[in-house]
This record gives sequence, structure tokens and C-alpha cells, in this order.
Amino acid sequence: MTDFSMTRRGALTGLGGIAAAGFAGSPAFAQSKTFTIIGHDAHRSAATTGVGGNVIEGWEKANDTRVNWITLDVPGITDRVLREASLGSSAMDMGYIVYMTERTLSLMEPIEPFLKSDPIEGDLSDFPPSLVDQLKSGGTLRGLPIRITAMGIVYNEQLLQERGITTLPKTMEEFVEVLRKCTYTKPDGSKVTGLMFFGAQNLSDIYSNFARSFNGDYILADSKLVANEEGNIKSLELLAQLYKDGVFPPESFTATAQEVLNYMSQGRAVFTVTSAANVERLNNPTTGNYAGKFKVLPDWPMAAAFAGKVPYSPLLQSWSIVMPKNISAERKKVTWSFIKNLVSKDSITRQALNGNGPPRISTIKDPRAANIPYMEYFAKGLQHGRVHVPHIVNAVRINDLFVQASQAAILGREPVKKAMDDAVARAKPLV
Amino acid sequence: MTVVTDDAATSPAPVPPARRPRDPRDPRFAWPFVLPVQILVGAAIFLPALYVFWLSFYESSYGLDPIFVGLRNYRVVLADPYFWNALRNTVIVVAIVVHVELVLGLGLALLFYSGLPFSRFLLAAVLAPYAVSEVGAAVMWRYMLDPGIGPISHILSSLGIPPLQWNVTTWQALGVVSLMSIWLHLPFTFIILYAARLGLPGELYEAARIDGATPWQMFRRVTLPLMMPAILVALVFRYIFAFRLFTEVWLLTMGGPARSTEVVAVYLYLQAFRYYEFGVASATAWLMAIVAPLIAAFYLRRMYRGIVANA
Repeated sequence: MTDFSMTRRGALTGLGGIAAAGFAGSPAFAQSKTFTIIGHDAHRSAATTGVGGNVIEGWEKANDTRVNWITLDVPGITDRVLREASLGSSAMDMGYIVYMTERTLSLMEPIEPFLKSDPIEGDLSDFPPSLVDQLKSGGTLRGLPIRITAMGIVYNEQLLQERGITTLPKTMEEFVEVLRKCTYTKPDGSKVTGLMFFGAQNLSDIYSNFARSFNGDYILADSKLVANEEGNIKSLELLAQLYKDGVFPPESFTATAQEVLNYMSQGRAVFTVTSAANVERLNNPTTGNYAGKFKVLPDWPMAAAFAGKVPYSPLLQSWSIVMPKNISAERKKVTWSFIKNLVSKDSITRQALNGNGPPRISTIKDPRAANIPYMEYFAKGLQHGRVHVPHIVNAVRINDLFVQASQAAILGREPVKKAMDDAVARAKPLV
Repeated sequence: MTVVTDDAATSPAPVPPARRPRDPRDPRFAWPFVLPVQILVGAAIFLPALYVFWLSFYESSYGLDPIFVGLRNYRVVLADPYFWNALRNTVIVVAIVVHVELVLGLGLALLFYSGLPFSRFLLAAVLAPYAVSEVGAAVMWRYMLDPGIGPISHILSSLGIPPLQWNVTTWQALGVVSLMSIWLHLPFTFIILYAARLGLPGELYEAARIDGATPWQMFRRVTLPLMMPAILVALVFRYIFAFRLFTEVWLLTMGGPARSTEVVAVYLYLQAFRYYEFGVASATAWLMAIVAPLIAAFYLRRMYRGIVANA
């Protein structure tokens, strides 16, 4: 009679066999190499899914490598990429990064030697210079732009029509007039505000945009502090007056970006300032009663004194791709081949068709550009855009300092000029 | 045929040395039992705390080798007006939260002890917030207190009370944070005090009644003194836990606008994970670790004196 009683050794052998069979059957085991990327789900989606098709599929096949995406939220990506790059060796082959300073960029591999030995299609002049400059540390380039954000004024067309407004505003003065008309109480008692924005954390969300309507800014690319000059003072005085008049709600200072979109989709505000790509989300039929009614103003309104004289300079933000210093020379070669593939003209256009903001100026002339959503906004950004804070070591502190001073000024806690003079004085040692 | 001689079987068995019985009071006897916990506590708390202490004397950030700066990080924190603003906000919120929780927790404990209909259901209801995650609670309270569409705002406006402005008014924001924190942590204080009340001997109350004590006198002279050790434990724990207040503030206001609602834990978070100033963040963490017991020192001292008196 055969003895079927279980022994410890037999159980362990059996479990080991089952596990090995499981691994052998999985697609992961079929390919011997993996390439690890840390980024956002939007990056993965732009590279792999949509009208433009899968941009990395060919590279995966050619290199017999499977791309392993680790996707996180924005602060999570920054922290993880920098943490990985700080270790003795990294599991990350390539990272997407949005907030970089000269110091943190020093953790990344200089790419100039790769550009010389195995150049990318076209050259660096195809990328906006302000974005390329943001990726330099110690005078050497540490990454390449991969995605730009185009901010626009998004509005609810139905609510605008209900208020009898048929002409879109062209100057800031007209815009303010429209905002006031759009601040009202509905017959059911619910309140609608002309404007709603995400004003909790970043200059780029509203403050810099408004300042540029008055040909003002907070800090220039050469680190010159201009927050207490006429343009920005006028912008903040206007915002303070609009807040006093109830044109935008107190929630603007604490709402998350998602809550601002909810606010809009519930018809509680008529205008907001957001990335043009968010219009897709607002127009999604599952998001609210006003789906399909959201549009973007064709041009950002300049103050009448500057309209037609000074071109509006859109706020240019970008994601970049970097390779950490702490991987082997062999892995760096593989990473460079991936980067080269990802930033080729064709890949950039195809990613743009998948919903990515294209960082190459040549994309504007690509015959497929007409099919890229919001390409006109991306084109303006590529041609006239500039960043809101240069990538100096204390960039985030300076951003926060100006956001706090702007909030205090708008809320009437301090006179605008005094708030900005104090902020500039405090920012000087940080520059 | 081979004959195998088993010497062991034929020779007499050696007599093992007589074992001395172990003395359970011998500290060496306890080591194997205590060591795993000591290792765990050391690895999870003591070593990281030491590392943070070491880091507090260095300038440290991503892309920068640590540079010894002595006490500079402590000076930076102590000279920063935002730190003092955050500390003031923290002390205010902690004082409100801990004492309101104590009063409510004690009241509920006595109410439950006196007997309530559906007491099991009510007990579950009182304890339920402790099972809710802080993030979930923050989302819920944010919605309820939304100035535009929140149910609480509607109730207030129907009563003719102006809408809440917690998004921009510091005292209202801190009030909302306190309210949420009390809601979340009341079960902790309550359960300690309720257990303490259940443990009080009934004979003392019987004796007090025979002596003609009124209910207030029984509470003042019997219940309160006997529950004092439990009250002190609840107070000290809550003081120290409440000082780490973060989630409620971060998810409600992110410390804004203009950093007016910031608490010390949010200040620390910004230093570490927004500015990547790990040395300054470490110094802040140690200042927190020093200040929290200092604030609770009055209660700690009373607790210590009670322990010494009963020893």
C-alpha cells in the first residue's frame, strides 16, 4: 500500500514546484529583463494607450525587455525618484520628474556624453530653451523635457448663456466685468461664483497667470525678484477686490485640484484656471450635469494697457525624464536607448495624440498636430511660455513665500504693496 | 558473523550532574523572554530616534552630503516665526481637544455606568469613530462643513447664522480641527474612563450612601479621587498623541491660508517633504519630542507622585 502521508520536506518541495510553475507561466518570466520607470499614470497612459498607439512596444520587443511602471501621485514621484537616486544603487532605470532644483539634479546622470555619441532626433533647439535650462546642474544637462502643461481659462458655456453673455472677453477688464455678471444666486437659492481656482499651494495655479496679464511676475528666469513691482501689485489688488466682492469663494484657498473640478462640474462657478487637458475630464458625461458644456477661452485676456502690445506669456510647466547616476554603465546605455526612443519626433507626436503636452516645437508643424487636443494652447506655450520660478535651490521656498504673501494680501490681512515688499525682502537671501 | 558490541548498553549509564533549580528572581532567567521585545523596541524606536537626533546636527538634503552644523538647525527653527505660530496653534488645539475629550469621556462613562437603554448599541456608536480612518473622517467633515453645500452650513443658515468661513478664518479653522479631533479620539478617553469606573468597588458607594452623601458628594469625594489614576493616564496619553496632530489640519486646510492654521507636525512635514531640509526637520522632531512631555508635565508629575505614594 502506498503511503500518501504528508512530510514537511514533501510539502515544501510541492509548494516550491507550484510557485516555480506559476512564475514560468507568467509573462514576466517569459522576458528575462525588466526596465523600471517611476512616473505618473498619465505618463504610462500617454506612452502606451490611445489614438497614437503604444510608443514603447517596439523598443520592448527590440530589446527583449519588459517595462515595469511604478506609478504614484505627484509628491510621491518626486520623493521616490530622489530617494532612489540617493541610494548606493537604484532599482529605477528612468524617472519622470516635475520639480527639480540644481541640487537635486546633481543626483542625475549628465546626458551630454550620450547626446554626442548617440544623438536624439533633431537637436535641443527643438525644445523651449527655458525648459532645457531648468534641467542643468553644474553647467551640464541632466534630463530632457517630456511633457508640458498648458494652463487656460475654462468656462461653463451653458451658465454663460444663462447670464446672457454672448461675447467672450478679450481684455482683463472685460473678463472682470463678465466675472461679476456671473456671480449670482440661482432661483433655488444656490450661489454661483464667477471664478473658482486652486490657490492653495502654487504660484502657477493662478497668481503668476494673473500677474502676466499686467505684464508682471514674481521672479524672472535670472532670479530677479519683481513681485513688488507695478504689474504684480495691480494683479493682486484686482484679486483682492474680486474676493471682497465675492467673485470667488473662500474655498479657493483650501480646495484641492479635484475639488475645484467638482465645483465646476456641479455648476457652482462659471470660470476656472486649469490645465486645458482637464476640460476632457469636465466634459466626461459621468462627471456632472454640465458635461459637454466646458470650453477654453481662446486667448488669455491681457489688461487693456498691454493688449496687442505685449504678447501674453503663458505659464510653462514641464515634466522631464532623467536617469539616475547610481546605475551601472550597462544600464545607463539601455536607459539612453529608451529615452532616445521616447523623445523622437514621432514618439512625441504620438504621445501628444494620447493626451500628452508635446515639448517639441516641431510638433506644431507635424501634419498630425491638427488631431492633437488643445494643440493651439500647447503651441502658445512652446512659443511664448516661461516658467514661474527658476530652478534655484530654494525654488519651492520662494514659491511658498510668495503664495503666502499673495493670500494674505488678497484676504486683506495686509496691504498688497507691504505684503509684497516684505515677501521680496524675505526672498532675497534665498535667491 | 560479525558481533557488534554495544559498549553503551553494557557499561553503566553516567549519572548527570544534579541540576540546581532556577531562581525565577534571577534576572538572567528573564532575559530570553524580554530580549525579543527589547530588540523590537530598539530597532523600531530607539535607533531611528538616535539617527534623527544625529541628523539634527547636520545640514542634509537630496544631492548634498551631510555637513555638520552643530546647533544651527535648532537655532533656525527657534528663530522661525512660522514655527512659533505653529506651536501656538498646536498648544491651543491640544488644550481644547484633550480637556473637552476628558469632560465628555467622563460624562459618557458615568452615563453608561448609570444604565442606559440599548446600551450595547450606544456603546458601539460611541466607539465607532475610533474605527474610522482619519482621512475618511476629514473628507466627511469637509463635506458636512462645506460653506456652500454642506448640511451643517444649511442648518446654520436656516437658523439665520452666517455661513462658516473656516477656509479663511484662523479661529474657525482651528475650531473645526478641534471638533474633528475630539470626534475621532473621544472613544479612547471614554474607554479608559469607563473601564476605570467599572472597576470601582460598590461597597464604597454603599458606605457613602449610609453616611448620607449626596450624588455630587459621591462623585466629588469617591468617584473622582478613585478614577484619578485613570484620568491622568488618559490625559498624558492624549496630550502626547494630540501633539502629533497632522492629518486633520493637512486635509482640511494644508496649514493655510498664509500658513495661519499650521501646526508643528505640518511645519515638520513641510521641512522634510516639501523643502527636503532633513536636518531642520529632525531638529523640529526633537523639539516636538521635548515640548510634548513638557506640556503634559503637570499631569505626569501628579501621576508620578501617585505612583510613589502607593508604592
